[in-house]
Amino acid sequence: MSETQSPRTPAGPGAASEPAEASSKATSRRGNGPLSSELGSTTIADAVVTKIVSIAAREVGGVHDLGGGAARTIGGVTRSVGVGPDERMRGVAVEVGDREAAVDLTVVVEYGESIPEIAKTLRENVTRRVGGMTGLTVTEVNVTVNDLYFPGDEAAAEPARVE
Amino acid sequence: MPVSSPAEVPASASVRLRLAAVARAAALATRGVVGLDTRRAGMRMTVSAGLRVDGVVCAAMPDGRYQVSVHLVAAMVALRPLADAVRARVERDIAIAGLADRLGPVDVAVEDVQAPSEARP
Repeated sequence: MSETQSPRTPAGPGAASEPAEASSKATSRRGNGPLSSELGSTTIADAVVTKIVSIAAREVGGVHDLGGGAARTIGGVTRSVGVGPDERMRGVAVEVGDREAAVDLTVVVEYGESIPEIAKTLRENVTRRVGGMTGLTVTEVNVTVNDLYFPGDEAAAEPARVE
Repeated sequence: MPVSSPAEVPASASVRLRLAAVARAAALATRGVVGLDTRRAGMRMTVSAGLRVDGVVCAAMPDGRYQVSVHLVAAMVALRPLADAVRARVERDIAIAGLADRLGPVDVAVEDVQAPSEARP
């Protein structure tokens, strides 16, 4: 149920670069990017963009959760024992360049909502938030709706056997 | 021993450590900075003579100056203006401390952001 599929073309180094290539690109990134000058450079970590995207996505009405089914299941287990990656990173993948970023989002939508409308709002909100906070231009936001949420799903869980 | 204020650094300490301590205090005093990032233990700190400044790396340059890298955690604000404000404050405070001639580029790395709902210990 992927909403869009298009080649990602963020400017600057990509996450999938070969190590040697990434190293040389990183050098040019420092020297030529708009965030660098004689006075020093400014770096915004990919994790920062990921977190902004995640928060922006959760702000959209009709989005129940982020992440795939397996990720949400594993996330629930790791959360219950207090380990594992940051929950907010789930369902978000970003590629960040000097000036641009590309975003992949996996979401669970509430049943009855308009998926095209939610995808449109997601793109708008993510683009606005990332652009506003980082100055990066978001070239694409690929939205994958991988599940629907029915109110009362949690109630279907087995009741506790002890009080 | 971690240094939390430039006042804790003796005048006899290395220039590198003094720069780091001033930079750390300047960054933390900038509105929009929540804290400094020290998660990569041993990578984001300056250590000298038993003292340690977390979140700031000072590296010597061939011309005798020091490149200062500040690794920060930001509030949910516009990050590029914040980085510029941190850089300006670091440069100003280091000049006030009389170390301007030893300061090279000031790199600012936003390593994390803290949402209003997050409570950081």
